[in-house]
Amino acid sequence: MPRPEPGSTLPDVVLPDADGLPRLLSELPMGDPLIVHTYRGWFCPKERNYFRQVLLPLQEVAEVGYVRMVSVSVEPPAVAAAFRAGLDARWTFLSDADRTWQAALDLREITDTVHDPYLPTVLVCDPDLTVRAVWDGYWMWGRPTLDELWAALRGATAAIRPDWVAPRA
Amino acid sequence: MFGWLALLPEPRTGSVAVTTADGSPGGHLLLAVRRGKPDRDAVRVAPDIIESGAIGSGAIGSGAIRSGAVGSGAVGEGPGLAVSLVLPPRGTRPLFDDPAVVEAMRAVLRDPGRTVLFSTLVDGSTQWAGSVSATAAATTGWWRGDPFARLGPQHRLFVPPGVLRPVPLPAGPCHQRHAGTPWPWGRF
Repeated sequence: MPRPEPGSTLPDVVLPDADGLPRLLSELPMGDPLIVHTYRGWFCPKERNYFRQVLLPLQEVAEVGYVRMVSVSVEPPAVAAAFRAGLDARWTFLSDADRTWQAALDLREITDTVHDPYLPTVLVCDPDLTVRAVWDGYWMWGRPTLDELWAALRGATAAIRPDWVAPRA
Repeated sequence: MFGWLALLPEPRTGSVAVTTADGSPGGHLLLAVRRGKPDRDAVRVAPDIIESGAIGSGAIGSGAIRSGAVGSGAVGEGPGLAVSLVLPPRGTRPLFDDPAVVEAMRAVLRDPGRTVLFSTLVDGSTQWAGSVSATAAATTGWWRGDPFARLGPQHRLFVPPGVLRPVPLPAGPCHQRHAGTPWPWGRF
């Protein structure tokens, strides 16, 4: 499969979460827009910075905005759990230690032959895993800002909520 | 269709006898998936954590209470569980949007592995009426760690197999409800 692009649909997958519990990706949105974020690993300062500067502030809005978030790496569940706890993240972290979904999405960062990590990528998806927006985060400045995510989530929400225009008497 | 939960002092049709953490009688747990209240003290709970053995084959539409004989327990395949049931009485229930309730929901999302199932309890559309969480093997620290236990009286119970069904939490960070349903159940 080519890398995700707007209009494509993510292949469904079962991956363990940070507690080691198998999770089916398609069951996670629960009818809400889904942000899928892939990251290299806890060791990368760019990832830690992106979590702090964008994803954690986004969490404070998404928690009341009917939005779900998933972060995926190749790190084992115990490592993902420690990283998640240290960040004080309240969304789901998935572990693709076998790199099966990474391969299916063609999202291996080939320039890091030590870790074979995920290529940093941010996707905004519909509840059925249709991709609405993609950002290639290989370079830091390729990643979406909070404003860009807000705009993408506005479009995603408007598309699925029939009462997006507030009902009138 | 709603899920309902009540902890009753006396047995009644469909209730299940439960024990406390020290093994003494803990009352009778009544669970139902139906439209109307099965008991005047029942509060709404996420229906997906109720074992469907008695209610899964068409009975949901007709409003069934769990149909096991009084105190007989098992009707499904869910495991026996240690349960933290927080049930504040009427008159002491804060608004669901109270910052203390919101912070407790955040704590649940922060540590989703703490419980194999979770539901807030609601009575009406605005009041938080309690919570239920469970684990296979409880320790004193697990009971104490329930973030909702500071908001109301906590019942430390053992519920027999076949009554409750483990359901993983949905993806965070959203903790908002859908039209007054018990969080995290429901969707638009």
